[in-house]
Amino acid sequence: MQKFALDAKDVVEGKTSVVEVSGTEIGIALHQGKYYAYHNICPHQGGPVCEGMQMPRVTGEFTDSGSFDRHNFDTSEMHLVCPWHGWEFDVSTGEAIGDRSIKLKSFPVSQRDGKLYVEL
Amino acid sequence: MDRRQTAVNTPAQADPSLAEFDTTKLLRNASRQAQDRNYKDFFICDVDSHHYETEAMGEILEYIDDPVLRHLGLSSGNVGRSGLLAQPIGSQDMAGRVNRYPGRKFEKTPEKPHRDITMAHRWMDSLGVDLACLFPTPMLLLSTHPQPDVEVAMARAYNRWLCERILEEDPRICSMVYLPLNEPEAALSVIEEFHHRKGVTGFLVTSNQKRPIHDNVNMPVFARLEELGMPLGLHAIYNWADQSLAQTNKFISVHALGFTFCNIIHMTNWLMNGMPERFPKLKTIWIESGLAWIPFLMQRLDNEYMMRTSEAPLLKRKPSDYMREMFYTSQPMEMVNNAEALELTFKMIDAENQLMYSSDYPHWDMDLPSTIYDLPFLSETAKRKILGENALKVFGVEPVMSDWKLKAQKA
Repeated sequence: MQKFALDAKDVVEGKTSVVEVSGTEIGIALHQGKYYAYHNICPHQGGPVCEGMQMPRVTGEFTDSGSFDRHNFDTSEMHLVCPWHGWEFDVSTGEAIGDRSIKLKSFPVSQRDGKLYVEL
Repeated sequence: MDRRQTAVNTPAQADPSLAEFDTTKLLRNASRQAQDRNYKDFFICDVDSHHYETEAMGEILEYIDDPVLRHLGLSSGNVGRSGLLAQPIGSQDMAGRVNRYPGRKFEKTPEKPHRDITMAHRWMDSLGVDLACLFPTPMLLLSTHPQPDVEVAMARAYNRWLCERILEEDPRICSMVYLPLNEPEAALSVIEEFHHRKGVTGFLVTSNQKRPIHDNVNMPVFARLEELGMPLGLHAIYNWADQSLAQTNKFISVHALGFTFCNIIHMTNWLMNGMPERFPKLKTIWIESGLAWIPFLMQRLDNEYMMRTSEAPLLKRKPSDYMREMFYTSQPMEMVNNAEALELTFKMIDAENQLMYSSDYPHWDMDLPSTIYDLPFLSETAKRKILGENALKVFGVEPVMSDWKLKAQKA
C-alpha cells in the first residue's frame, strides 16, 4: 500500500531525510535525480543507518607502474554511512560496500504532484 | 589530473542535528532491542566501557601531588602540544562518519550529577547495561609515556578523581583502576591506596610495558593482587610506535593487529614464564582484543610446547589449558560471516564460564548486548552468565539493576 512520506522539496542530494510512515522509520535519499527509500535499521547491529552522513565512494589511484598515487572521492556512487559503526551502503542499491550480498531493506518510492509516496 | 579538493560532506553538513546531539536519541534502536529482548529480566554488566577523561582533565590535574607537574599540566590547557599527555594518532571516528565523536561535545547535561555519570547512564540505559566498568581513553597509552614520573602522577591523579567524583557518586559504575606497572613500587602503593575504595573491582595494565610482563620486578605486584583476591585486567591498545606495527600505514591495519598483538605478547610471556603456576589464584582478564586471537594462540603455543617443553619448565599443562581458565571480554567480537567459527571459539575458551560481555562504548567498534543475546548456539543460562553473572563472580560484587528495569519488573 502506498503511503505519503514527505514533500519532494524536503529531500536534497547528499542528505537523507528520515520520516516515520505507519510506525516505520524510513530514510529517503535523492541521488542523480532518483529517489530511494530504506528502512532506518542497519543490518549490522541495528543502528539508525539513514541518519548518518552520505559520503562518496573513496577510491585509490595508482600509476601505470603500480605506485600508489592518491585517494579520491567518486561522487557518482554515494554511500549511506551508519553512524554507529561506519558500515557503508550504496544509495542506489542498498548494498553494503564491504559485502554486496548484505542489503538494506528498501521500499519503492513514487512521486506525484511534488509529494513522495512509499510502498510498505 | 584534477587535483582540486572535491567538495564532500563534513559531519556538520551531513547532520545539522549534531548541534542537538543526544546519546539517548542516537541509541533509540538499542533501547528497542532491550525492550524486544526483555532485558528487564537480565542483569547486564559491561566489563569494558570508556569515557573521555580528557574532557575532565582540568579536574583530574588538580589531583596531582607534585606541584610542579600540576602547574605544568594546568598551565598548558589540559592536553595538546605542550601538555602532559599526547593524543594518539588515528581517526577513530572515520572523518566524522561515526557521529557520536563530533556530536558529544554538543550534548547537553545537567550540572549534577557529574557529566560523565549522566553521559554513562544515557548509553547504559539505552543498551540495557546495569553495571559498567569504566576505563579512560587516551590514558590507555599512558604506559608508553617517556616520563615515568608523569605516568605515576597521572595514574594517581586519575584514580583519585575517578574514585571521588564518579565511583563514590554512582553505584552503577565501577572500574579496574590504572596500575603503573612500569614502576613496581608505585604500583604497589597504588594498590594499597585504592583496593578498598568504593567501586574498585581490580587493577588495569594497559598497552605495551617498558619491561616484559614476566619481569621479576613485577612479582610483588602480582603477589599482592593475588593476596587481595583482586583481578588483573590487561587492556590492549595499539601502539603505532611499536617496531612491527610501525610498518602499517592505515588506521584499520594498526588497529586490527595492534589490539590483538598487544595481548598476544603479554599472554605468551605470561604462559611461557609459568605465571599461572606462580600465582594460581590470580585472576587475569584479557580485554579488548576480540576473540579470534585466542584459538589461534592456543593452537600455536600448544603445538610448539609439545616440541619444546624444556623451555617452559614451570608449566604443568598445555598452554591452552591455562588459557581456558582465564577470563576474556567479548568486544570487538569477530562475527562476520562465520557463525561456525564463532561457535567453535566459544567452545574452545569455555565461554559460558570465562567470557564477559563488553561494549567498548562509546568507541567506534562498540558491541551491543544483542551480539551475545542473539547467538543461536547459546543457552539462556550461558547468555545470563556471559552478559552479567560471570562478571559478578570475577569482581565479587552484587548486582545493581538500572532504574528502568526495576520499574519494568514492577509494571
